[in-house]
Amino acid sequence: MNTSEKKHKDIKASLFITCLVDLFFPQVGESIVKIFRKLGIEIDFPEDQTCCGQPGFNSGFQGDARAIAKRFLSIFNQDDNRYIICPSGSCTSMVRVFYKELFKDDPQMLEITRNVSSRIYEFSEFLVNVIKAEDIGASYTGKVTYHDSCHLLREIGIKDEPRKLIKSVKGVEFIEMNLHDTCCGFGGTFSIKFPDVSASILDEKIENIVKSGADTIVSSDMGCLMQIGGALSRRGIPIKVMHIAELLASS
Amino acid sequence: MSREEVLRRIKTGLRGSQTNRESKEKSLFLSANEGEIQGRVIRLRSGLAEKKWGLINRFVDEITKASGRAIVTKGEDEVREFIINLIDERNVKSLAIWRTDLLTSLREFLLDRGLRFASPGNKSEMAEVNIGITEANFAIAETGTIVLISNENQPRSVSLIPPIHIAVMKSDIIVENLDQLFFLVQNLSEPTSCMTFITGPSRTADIELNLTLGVHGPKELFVVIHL
Amino acid sequence: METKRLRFERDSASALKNQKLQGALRNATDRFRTVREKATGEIKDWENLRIKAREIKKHTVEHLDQYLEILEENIMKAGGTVHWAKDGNEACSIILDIARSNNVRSVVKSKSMATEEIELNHALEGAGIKVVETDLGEYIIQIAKERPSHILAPAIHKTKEDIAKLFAEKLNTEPGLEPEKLTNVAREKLREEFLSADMGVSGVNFAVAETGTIVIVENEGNARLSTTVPRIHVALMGIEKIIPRFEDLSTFLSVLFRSASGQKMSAYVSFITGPRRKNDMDGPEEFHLVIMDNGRSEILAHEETRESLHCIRCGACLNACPVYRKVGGHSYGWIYSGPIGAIITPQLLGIDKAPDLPFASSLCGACRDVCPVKIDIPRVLLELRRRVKNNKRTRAGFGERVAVRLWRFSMEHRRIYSLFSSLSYIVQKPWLQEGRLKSLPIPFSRWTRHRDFPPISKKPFRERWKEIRDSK
Repeated sequence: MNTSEKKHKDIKASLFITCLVDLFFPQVGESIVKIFRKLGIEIDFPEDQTCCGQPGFNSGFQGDARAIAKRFLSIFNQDDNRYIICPSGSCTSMVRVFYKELFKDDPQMLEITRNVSSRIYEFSEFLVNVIKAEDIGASYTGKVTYHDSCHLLREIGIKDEPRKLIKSVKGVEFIEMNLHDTCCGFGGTFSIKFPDVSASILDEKIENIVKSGADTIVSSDMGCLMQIGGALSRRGIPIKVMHIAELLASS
Repeated sequence: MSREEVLRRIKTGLRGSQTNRESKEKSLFLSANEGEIQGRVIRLRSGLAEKKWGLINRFVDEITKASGRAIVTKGEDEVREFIINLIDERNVKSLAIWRTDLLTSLREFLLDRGLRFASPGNKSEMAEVNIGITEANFAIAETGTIVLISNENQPRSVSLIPPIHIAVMKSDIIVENLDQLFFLVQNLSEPTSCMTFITGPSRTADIELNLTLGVHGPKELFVVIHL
Repeated sequence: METKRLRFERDSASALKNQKLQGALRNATDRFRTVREKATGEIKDWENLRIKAREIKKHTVEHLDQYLEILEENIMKAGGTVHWAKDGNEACSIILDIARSNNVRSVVKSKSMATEEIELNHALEGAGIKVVETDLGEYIIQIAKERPSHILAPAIHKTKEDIAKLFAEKLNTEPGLEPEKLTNVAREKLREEFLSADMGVSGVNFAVAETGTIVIVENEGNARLSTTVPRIHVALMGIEKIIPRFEDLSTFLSVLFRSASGQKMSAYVSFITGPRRKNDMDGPEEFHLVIMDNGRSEILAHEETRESLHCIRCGACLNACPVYRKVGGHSYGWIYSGPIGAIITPQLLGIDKAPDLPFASSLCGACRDVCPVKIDIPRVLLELRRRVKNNKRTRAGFGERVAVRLWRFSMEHRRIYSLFSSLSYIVQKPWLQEGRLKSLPIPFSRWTRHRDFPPISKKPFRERWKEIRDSK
């Protein structure tokens, strides 16, 4: 404990909570804070934050998305010595990958975007790749399977990191499910624009989760877990749904 | 005119984009000089000669995987023997054959045996042909492909209309991969109206993705390799 | 050609309920994915090959007019004739003219998406000319009077029993034939057609500018027969099918087969340069290439979506797509389906004809991973979504505009955001069952139709932070 405090005492972070976690799954945010404190990393929460703008951007409302993105950047640019930690692959990719498209005609904003983008990390990415912490000292008894959320996998390129973290948890038996890297059908507003198609894709994901024999499903995006969890509870399937931060905060 | 209209639309569409458009005078195709090409051809050929057995084995492997049959023979006698056996086995009445140096003595041999050849230019004659015999001008080891170049002595329909196709080839025409094939074809042979890559007999997977051999093209392909 | 507006939700509804189709789609896409993975895994520098293919296509499209002129020159040198068509109607007219002036009574056709795009069969048949599709899958759906459901395997939605029944009904064969026998029936019936047809029509997989060569790939042999036996060969190509040099074929053939069907090479590849030569014994006397625009120059003009023209029609994106896997080809309303259909249909037909398609995707990116020419399909989809919202005829309805305004307003004003969240916490109470929201009013009912919705937390994280911040 002391060594890690010393090791990370120069690292400072800000939590970008994301609307889904803030409103529906605040315990994920609490888990992240708990883990960071355990690791001796100072983490704060810029209280003015709201959204990164992705829902508007993905729906084709670029002007509206840009306004919200500007606000996001101004909030998270106030202290540029801090890493920005985000419990969502899709929100992270919005800032890191898509903001530069939103501001491609605005050199001043582009500069700010570059600064903020260089500091933002998805939660598991940060743990494994930045502070090289693969074992947080967590413990959880269960058969755990992991769903690769699309943006985290394909826009950020994170695949092994969450698995390393999960496997390090004492008591966990990790099971790789079939088609673990296939979309769950959430796709943001896609899930309500084309609900029947979304549900059909979800059906196969549930099938694979159940077939894997796992009693716990873990992912890095609450959007996916809302989609998956919503189907599991509708069908009365008693598989636990957890964000990876919740798993790592277990003891 | 539509030609001008289509070209105009394209030019207009590209105007103002960040592309580096070379002027018409500068050729879009870099051409190496003749000597350089010949040098490369010679080096390639000698490199291939060194790998001869590896190439033959790879080629035979791949064409077999593609459901073609490869027969390695040591001489003209074995070639004739294979073909005559097949003719007897399949009750062949009519043949079609290319007129090439490699196939001359085979053709005469078969004529002597009383077999008759259809004229490739005659559709109804070709419709009755049981076996078409061609040469292979090149072969590609990596994919198990034979390459046929058509001309006045090497008509297309011989390898296409009959249900059985036999291609006779010398073993030194095998190249390793597509890169080498296109290089040699472009620099060694005259452009003709049709070149064909053949990799095994004809096939389809259109019914429930089940593989069925022998759709419209030949049902069987035999490649006789003349060492 | 299509004047009706396509509706994805309606068109996909029956596909989702069709258990047989669901099984066929799952089977087919699983198979294609497996063989594709194996075949591409065998190439050591597969990624570099894709990059090279993309760069060649990008360069070609950026000099498209120059390469088309070179292609035309070289085809004419080889004795062929080149025609230019601004749109599908003109392409049909050109081909009809060629047929009429040569007293063509029957045409054999090999598989070509471009000819389906312009509904060529309809035009020829309207003029009293018999048209026979010779690709087995296309032959099957021609008899069934249906549209293709997959770029590579057009009859994938039919089981072998379906096809046996179809042949028994329409061709008077014995009932219940196995695939091998069905194939034999097709071979015999079509053999007569090949030998008696006056004209063969084909598509073009690649047109090589440097040599004036068109390349046709296939497994069955029907394209070879259609382009060898009849006296006239007409090839139809979209302007984007061109590649610069003969040697570029090495790159494209390497990526095409492995991406499409997991083969190293298809059974046949024909490289055709003009009609038969003076002393040739066979081959067509006349070779005509019809170069067609039909909306492609419009795609070219938009830099953000120009890469849509790189497509080599391999079908890999269809097999990777979680949406296609569930809805199948017919749901996309036109001949191009899957991710590539979602981006080119709105661009070729007009954004107002297919405003749903750019949204019929979860943006998962699996298509981009498998595209041999690295088209960034999700990016193009996002750009098309912007166009839909900015287009007077397809922009957001009143409800959606209100929702976006509200969303933006609350996200720009934290206190409003917090107010909304507290209000929602209260308002949701009547709908809470066992701690979950099982049914909600429109539009949230679209979610709760199939799954539960989580309740808004009594204490969102930002309120908990006040306590956590000060504790240790």
